[in-house]
Amino acid sequence: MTTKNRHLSFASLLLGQKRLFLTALVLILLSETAIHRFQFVKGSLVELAVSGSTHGLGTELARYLGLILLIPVSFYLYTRVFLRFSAFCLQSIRQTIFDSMVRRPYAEFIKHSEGRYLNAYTSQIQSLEETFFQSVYGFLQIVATSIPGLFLIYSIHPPLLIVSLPGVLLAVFLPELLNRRIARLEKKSIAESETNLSLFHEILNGLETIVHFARERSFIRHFRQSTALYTETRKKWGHTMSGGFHLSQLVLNVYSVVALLIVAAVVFDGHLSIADYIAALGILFNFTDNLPYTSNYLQSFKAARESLNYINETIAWEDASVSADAVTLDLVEDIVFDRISFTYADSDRAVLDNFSLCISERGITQIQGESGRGKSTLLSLLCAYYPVDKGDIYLSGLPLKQVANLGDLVTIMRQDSIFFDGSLAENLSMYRPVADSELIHGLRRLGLGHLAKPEILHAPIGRYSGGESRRLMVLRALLRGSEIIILDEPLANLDPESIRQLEKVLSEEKERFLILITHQAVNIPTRLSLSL
Amino acid sequence: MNHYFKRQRLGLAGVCLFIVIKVLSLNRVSILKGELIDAAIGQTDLKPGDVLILFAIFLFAYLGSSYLLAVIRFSVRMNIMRDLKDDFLASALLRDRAAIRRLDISQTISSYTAEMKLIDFVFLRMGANLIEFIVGILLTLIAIALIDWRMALLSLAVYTLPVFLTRTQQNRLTEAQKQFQAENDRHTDSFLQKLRGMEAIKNYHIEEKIQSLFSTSLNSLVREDIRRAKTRANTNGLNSILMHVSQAIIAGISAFLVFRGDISAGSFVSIFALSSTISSQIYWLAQSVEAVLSARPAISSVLDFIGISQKQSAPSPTGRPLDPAVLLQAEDICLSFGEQQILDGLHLRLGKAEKVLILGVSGSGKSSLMSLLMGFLLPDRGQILLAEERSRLISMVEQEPYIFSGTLEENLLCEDLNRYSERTELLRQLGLDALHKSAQPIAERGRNLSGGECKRLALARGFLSASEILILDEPLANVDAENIERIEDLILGIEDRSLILISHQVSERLYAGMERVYELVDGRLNCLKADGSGRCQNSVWSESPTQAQSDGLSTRRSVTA
Repeated sequence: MTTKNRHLSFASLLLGQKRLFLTALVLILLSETAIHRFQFVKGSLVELAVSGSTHGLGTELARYLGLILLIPVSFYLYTRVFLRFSAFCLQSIRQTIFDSMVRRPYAEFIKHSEGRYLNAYTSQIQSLEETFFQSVYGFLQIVATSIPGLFLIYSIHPPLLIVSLPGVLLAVFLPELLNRRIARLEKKSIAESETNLSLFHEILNGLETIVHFARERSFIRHFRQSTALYTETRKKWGHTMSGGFHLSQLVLNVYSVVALLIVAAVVFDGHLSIADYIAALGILFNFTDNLPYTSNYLQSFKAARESLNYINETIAWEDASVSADAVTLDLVEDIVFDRISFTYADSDRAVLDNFSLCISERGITQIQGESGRGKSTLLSLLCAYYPVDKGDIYLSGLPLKQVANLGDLVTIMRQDSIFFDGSLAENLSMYRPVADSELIHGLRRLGLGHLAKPEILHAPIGRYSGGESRRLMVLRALLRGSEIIILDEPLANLDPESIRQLEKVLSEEKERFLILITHQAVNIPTRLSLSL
Repeated sequence: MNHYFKRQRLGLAGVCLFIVIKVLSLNRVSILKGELIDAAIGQTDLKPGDVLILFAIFLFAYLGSSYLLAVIRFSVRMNIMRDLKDDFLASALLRDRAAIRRLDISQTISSYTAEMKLIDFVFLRMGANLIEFIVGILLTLIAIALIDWRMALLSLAVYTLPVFLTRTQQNRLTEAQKQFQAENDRHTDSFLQKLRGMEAIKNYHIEEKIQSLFSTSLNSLVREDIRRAKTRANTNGLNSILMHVSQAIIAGISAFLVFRGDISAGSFVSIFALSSTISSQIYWLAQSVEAVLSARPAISSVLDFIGISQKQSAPSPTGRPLDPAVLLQAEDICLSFGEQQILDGLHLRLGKAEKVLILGVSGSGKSSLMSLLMGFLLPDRGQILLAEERSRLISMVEQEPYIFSGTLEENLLCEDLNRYSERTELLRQLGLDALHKSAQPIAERGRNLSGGECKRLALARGFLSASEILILDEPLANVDAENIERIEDLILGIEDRSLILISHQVSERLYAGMERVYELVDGRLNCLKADGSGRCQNSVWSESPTQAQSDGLSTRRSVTA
């Protein structure tokens, strides 16, 4: 059993866009260094203005103007490069989520609700954009300004650095105390967001059903409860976040006063001039303003990690369907269900109990039976969507697990019709190269002659009636020509004429294992008919 | 949007109050820091102890008000979002029925996720700072005016100019946001389509093709996103360059004033410091204004969506049938999709406790007729008269019912919880008692139920509903022989309400149990059978069918038994 999850981490995201990230870093360092440099030029200019001298005014003015352009331009470039960086990172997360959905076996896919995929793909990605990437954007600015700042304090008087460091560390890491609460609330709000989005998605899909029974009010009520729950958790989260921010501010302000008094004592010892003292305090107070944001950003990173964990859990899947020693089958000789039993995970009703069946001849096998007796389940098991509890299913004597190309051997047509972007031809051939003549022939045989024209085939898919859609789905399945074709209720809701046409077409398929699930008797010579 | 702000009146008042306290105490704290420095190095007569106490008081006032401000602001933001989301969903459910059909699920979900996030994170979060920045700018301007009023006026003029200069840029921003949203709608649609069709994707092994289709869609989304980001960065960059240039102008002019001896060097430093405070505040103000503006398309799109249900809440102009015994009367209904004429002068009348069967081949317009009766479609010509409001009068079990995730009880969509025994009996008759007893949770779209179970569950909804007319669209499709008989019994057992049964084929027994039978052909209803009075009430308008047709339809029945 292999776990195929491309684990996403913040480090791997940054490394994936190394060049852009480093460029952004260089640009912000440039911008912040220019800001520090600007303070000195400003001082020189004031000095010149006060003294009334014009000596060196030209150079200073040039510097001044140069910096005044350099600061915003480099900052502008930083912003542009950074936004590009985050857009590409987000693209890579989106692609990873989608790839993991498409690549996993269907059995793994249905372990999560559609709402979960939707939540990961929309809300959680946006939340990463808003919390993680925006925090990195601000965090880099603070780092870029702090490093030269600390260096300046050191250059004024080395012991000052020792005095200021504990305050810096305290302010950055004290709010960590709240992290556990923040992570818990974040997790809860992600789960509530999933519930909310699932509900929203379901209500939209079932909108007509709700209206048919005039139950709008009760669904609105239900939804209100869900948004109210999410809002309350989110509020608690926000309040804890600003609690951490203000705690950090309080610590820093108190600490800066203490530092101020300590440093004042140093001044009286004569180690420091008053001018240096004020400069050092200026830089220190600059920290007081910036550092709470740092701790806030660190908290955001923690919160963003929950979103990333959620995405990671969503993209993780196990490949349990195929074992290592799997073999590729070209031909299927027989299909054997050997004493299988199956119960759905969330139920205690056994759907199949000690069921056996052997299909050894090509042609039509009809499975008939009361609904709920496990017809559809049987076929899901044949597709290996779920592992059987007991017994096993064999193709040409090989257990399903050891068939490497099961997906190529079995085609299943479900009762609902699914169309994808593209033309009718692409939807029938499922993007394989199939000659128009073959499609036209197939359409005519199924009584869909009005669609059998090249200009309709290659135009984007249109609107089809229920009966038309069903026949298109049957044609799609037959065109693929796989060894085993399963048709789940192909005749339901069709009118007599269409049924006759379809029965004729199906009875001509003698080269494959055609498994037909119906609740009604059909007018087709069958090899094997079985009631469940 | 005002409506939502008004609902948060109290919170907003709190926000204003704490902003004033915060800004005032912050200014005091800044001044006290200076005094503290002076006191520490013994440059004033003030005692460090006194200054320290004052400092502590204002620091706590500042931090306390700042914390409360953050908390209240966040709550207000969350409450507004909650109200918006609630109204958004309610509007999807409560809109005019004809508008429900036009509702695009993908676009609605895209709007519910992306646009709501934009309103939340950009508009409400950034916009909330507006007041704070404006108060801050005013206070700083007053401080400059105290030193030199000319400089205050100059600062005001120089710094507000850039705000107007970036106007054109703001239009571009709005445009970029709109285009991004359109692309996001398309992308969400692409994502949802794949989500729904995942089984087919896996089964036909077209993962790679689908991935490449999806990548194309994602690439155009990212392209639009980057374009939007560029426009945003350009606006910021332009603002910030203009700010810095303005600052240089102020510095140059004040340096000139120092040079002339109008103001002292100390005042120059103060003016410079204060004006850079203003410039950064105005920069942030411009950022917030820009955020508010860029969210404008999202806000108007969400509010338009919500507005649809409010605009159309007036009852649709359907009259009542003249005859009080008639519940539903469709007169001369015409409907076409493009070139294709679906219904052409159709008439139907349904009385109290009457059972009517409508037969028709696939594609004859049965589903369109039902959509018209349910109000999801509007006829091109003709009218439908109803004895009562539609939602109270008619319930319908659709051909492909939607099954919600949750319990079986919840899925019955039955408000009246007192009819417990009736419900249990019905579920037994429909063969759903085992499922009911097992208390197995039902997955979304009824994925863990068989097609037949879904169908029977939906029929249970119909039989339990309290409306006077029940419409059953293909109630026997996907149902196996053993259940067909039981469902037929239930249908024939209906006595106190009217029934419209739509099917392409029925058993002779069901056919016999119906008071009137029509065949939908060429967009009209042909009467095949009429009990009681012995004449078709509709035959006035339609030709009578050939014997062969009616035979063909009535004898062709499901014969699995």
